[in-house]
Amino acid sequence: MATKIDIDHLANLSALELTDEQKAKFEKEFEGIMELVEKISQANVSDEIEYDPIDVSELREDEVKQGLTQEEVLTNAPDKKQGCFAVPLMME
Amino acid sequence: MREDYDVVIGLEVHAELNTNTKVFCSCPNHFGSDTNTNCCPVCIGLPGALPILNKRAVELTIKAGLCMGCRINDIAVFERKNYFYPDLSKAYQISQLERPICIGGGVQLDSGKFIRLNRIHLEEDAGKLIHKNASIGTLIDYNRGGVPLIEMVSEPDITSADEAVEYLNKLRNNLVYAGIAECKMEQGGMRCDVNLSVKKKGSNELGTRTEMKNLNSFRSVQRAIEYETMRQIELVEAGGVVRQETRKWDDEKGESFSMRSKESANDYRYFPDPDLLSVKIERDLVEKLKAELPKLPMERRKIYLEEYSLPEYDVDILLSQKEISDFFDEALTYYNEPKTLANWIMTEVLKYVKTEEEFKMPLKAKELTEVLKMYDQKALSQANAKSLIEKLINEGGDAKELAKKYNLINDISDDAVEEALKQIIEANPKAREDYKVNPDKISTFFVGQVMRATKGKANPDKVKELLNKYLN
Amino acid sequence: MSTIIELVNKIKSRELKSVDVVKHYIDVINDKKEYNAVIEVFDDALDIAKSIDERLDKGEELGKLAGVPIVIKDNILYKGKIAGCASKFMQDYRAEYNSTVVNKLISEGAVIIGRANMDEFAMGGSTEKSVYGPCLNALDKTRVPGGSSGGSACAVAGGMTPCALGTDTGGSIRQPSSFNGIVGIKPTYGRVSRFGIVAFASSLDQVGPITTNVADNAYMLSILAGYDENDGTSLKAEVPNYMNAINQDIKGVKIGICNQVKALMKDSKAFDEAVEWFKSQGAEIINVDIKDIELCLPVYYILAPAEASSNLGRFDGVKYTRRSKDANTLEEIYSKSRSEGFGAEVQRRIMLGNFVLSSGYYDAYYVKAKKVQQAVKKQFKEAFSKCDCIIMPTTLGEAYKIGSITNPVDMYLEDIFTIPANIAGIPSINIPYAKGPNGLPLGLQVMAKELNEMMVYRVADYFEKNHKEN
Repeated sequence: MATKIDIDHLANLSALELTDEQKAKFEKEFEGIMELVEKISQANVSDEIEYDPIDVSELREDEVKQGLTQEEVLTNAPDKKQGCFAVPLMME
Repeated sequence: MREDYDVVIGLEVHAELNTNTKVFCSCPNHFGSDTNTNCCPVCIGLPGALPILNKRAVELTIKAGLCMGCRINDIAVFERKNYFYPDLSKAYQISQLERPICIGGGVQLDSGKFIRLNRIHLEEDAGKLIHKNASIGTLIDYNRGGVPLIEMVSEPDITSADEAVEYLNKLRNNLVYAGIAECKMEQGGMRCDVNLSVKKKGSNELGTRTEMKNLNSFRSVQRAIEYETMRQIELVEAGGVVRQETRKWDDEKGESFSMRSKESANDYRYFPDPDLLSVKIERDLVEKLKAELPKLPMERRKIYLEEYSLPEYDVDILLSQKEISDFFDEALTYYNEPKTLANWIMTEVLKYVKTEEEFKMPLKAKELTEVLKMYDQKALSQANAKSLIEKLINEGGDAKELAKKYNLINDISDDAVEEALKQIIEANPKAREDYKVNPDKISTFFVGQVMRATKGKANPDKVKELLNKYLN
Repeated sequence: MSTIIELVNKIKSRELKSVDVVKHYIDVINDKKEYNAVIEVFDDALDIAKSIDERLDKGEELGKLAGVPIVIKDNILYKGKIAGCASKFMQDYRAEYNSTVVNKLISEGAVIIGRANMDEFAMGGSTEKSVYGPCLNALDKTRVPGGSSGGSACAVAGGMTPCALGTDTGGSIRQPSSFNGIVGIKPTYGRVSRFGIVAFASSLDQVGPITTNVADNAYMLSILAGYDENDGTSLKAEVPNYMNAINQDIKGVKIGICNQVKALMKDSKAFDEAVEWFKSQGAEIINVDIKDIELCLPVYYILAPAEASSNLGRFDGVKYTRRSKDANTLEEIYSKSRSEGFGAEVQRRIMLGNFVLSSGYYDAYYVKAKKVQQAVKKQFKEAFSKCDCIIMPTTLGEAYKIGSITNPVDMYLEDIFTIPANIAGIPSINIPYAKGPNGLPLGLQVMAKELNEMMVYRVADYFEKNHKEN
């Protein structure tokens, strides 16, 4: 199985801006990586992903607990205004 | 609508659940707080923060499923829906794809038509974007981020705007009646996306559908469907092709607009959220939740019509708000006269409800029935019964005590009534003469006079009986 | 070099002052700056030590780590301190809250003295891919310390701290411990809370202690382990006192040797000798099959990037992390900030993860990998029905030279022996057990079935105390 990778699509999904040089490098490296990961196609497993009864979530009671203050929420914000995170005006 | 086209509609309805806290963290689920004050590491997507599922949110979702006749899955799984958008703090929304909590079910319209549901799943709401201007930009408030939402996805069984609105109304009534969601559309507590396509009547070939977002009232759903149906038909008639796209409804302009979308926008790369293990839903829990459900509107309607023999008009009013119906049902447990009760509620109670505020019954059901019992025992005149209801609404408290306080109890003796009547007859010779010509009209005059003289305590029937005795 | 247990006792008995102990380790860190192991010494460490001394002088009981210095990996949140994940993107990020493990350390009276270098976002096996520059091997400055917890391991091996916390997603505690000749455990998945640990691959990540000896390690894990209501994947099982595994014999213990692993070893001489030694000590050697163990590598390089691609979406230049100065629109904030902020290896894994999850490939890669993972778990379970533990080497060889592996795939292949424990979710410890051709340490892994850290510690401690090499 030789898989063709659409680097532009992946960069888009990844929200990464790549130069042509970087794209070419990724494309080349991906060949080797795909060779590695495609070994799983050899595996002979047909069953459904089993549901393991130990793997069950603990649910939480619906009780309010103290969170962060507005100031704490915005501690690391690169841009903040009027008690909010700020980004350039979006065109919807 | 054009007769030669069929319209095919599916609705995706979101409703915020009635919980104290958010779905994956312990922050308050509260509308209207100062920006970014109902937040914690989990709901603002800080590194290292992990979601913990709210039990009540799961239970309310199960209840929603039970209300709509869904099958409840034994195992539910939460998945990540990955995309970048600033209202989404983690760049993924925790939602459900492969194994939602509820499967199937549906809602029956009054016509008998059944609108099938595909599923009801639980997910987290996004934060809120506030678009200011070029210098301030767009602001992000994560207070709403992580509020529990159920998404109810219908099959494309709806064929008109009217059906869509009726379906929405019934969904909402069920959710509100069962205490699952408040569905305040004006606060975004209930939102609706419409998937719509048209096809030539009788054709098996489905048209391309569009998805319309931002529908925040039943009226905008109605208008948006009508608009989009015409738009698509006109487009097809003119030889054009409907594009698969997301459109945004502008309620002010009464038009929808295509939203620009990236080609990759639909590749959400769903996969099970590794931070959240499967949720096992025990049958015992489902049974317990089923037992907790109140009677739903459909069921109440049936009882009101068939068991209580109430007219449709009354039933519609009683069911128009859960609070009225609950009030009526509770009052019935003290006073088992459905029609009398309904009349009093409709004429003497609801007129005091302030419509501009949150709907609330103005007095306790038990107190109303106390008034009615006193009236039945002739301890109150009708006028005083009405007056007592008004006083209960204004002052609250105990019906009997209030009646005493305002001296409304019918404690006047028959002799005193008779004496009062005699004096009035004496004082009104003309009326006495007129009575012979027009007894109905003039008896009303005499009854009124007696009531005034006795401060409303006389029993009007008794007065009429005495009139007969003296004037015939 | 003192052990943790010695320090605890001496500080408690007031033979030593915490402030002197902390000062000593900070001095070593400063002397060994060139190793680039500890990238920041916290400026409040000495004050905290002082206040602990004062309280101890007053006779207060201050917990099991009173006054003991500890270093944490740069991806563990400590409120008010930078948690940079060795990334340019996160260099300014100050934690808004404490991770659960940090809370545990503080409540036991530990003094967190600094943060350790690592591979960016824990993606790597050499601690060469750090914004702070490469970390060096504590025993040979020309070689890598391993990774991604290379800074933690180097700091412990270099005497800069008696203990460091690391994280292990595919071997990131055990492999650097092996390269530096010390002890590090990856506990059972869910044994230690992940709350406040910057996630790499959520279903595989585990925190664990790195120490100079097994007893210290058991002591530390007894403190760190336990259920956390803030981590839905943490296990409810009670935490035993792992110190009960120390100084036990191993007569009759069934030690498993995986047939498939032997075929993968470059040179099995040291390992064969160890097996013989265990036999001589009264252990029973059992050959077991884990048929698909070799497939753990591809499974890992599908699942880990898939989860990482999603986990790292939150680093976007909007809420925290550096925003690109060239970004004028929202889209540019995302793409430019992320391209500038993430290093090449992180970008590669994000791209790879998005590929295996993307429409059309999800079933062939992600779903298939999950199925193989189930199969491997089953095979381990079967193996542990026949033996009490399984031993295998930690690495293919000694620590390699800095800059010697440049091809990503070659780097990935180095993880062949450490990844299976993460895929199976089982505990695995590294202990030094032999010397390689250059006289550098080789590590041995001891693995047991899930939640059986007791067996892991028992066998590891026995080897450490009784084997002639030690």
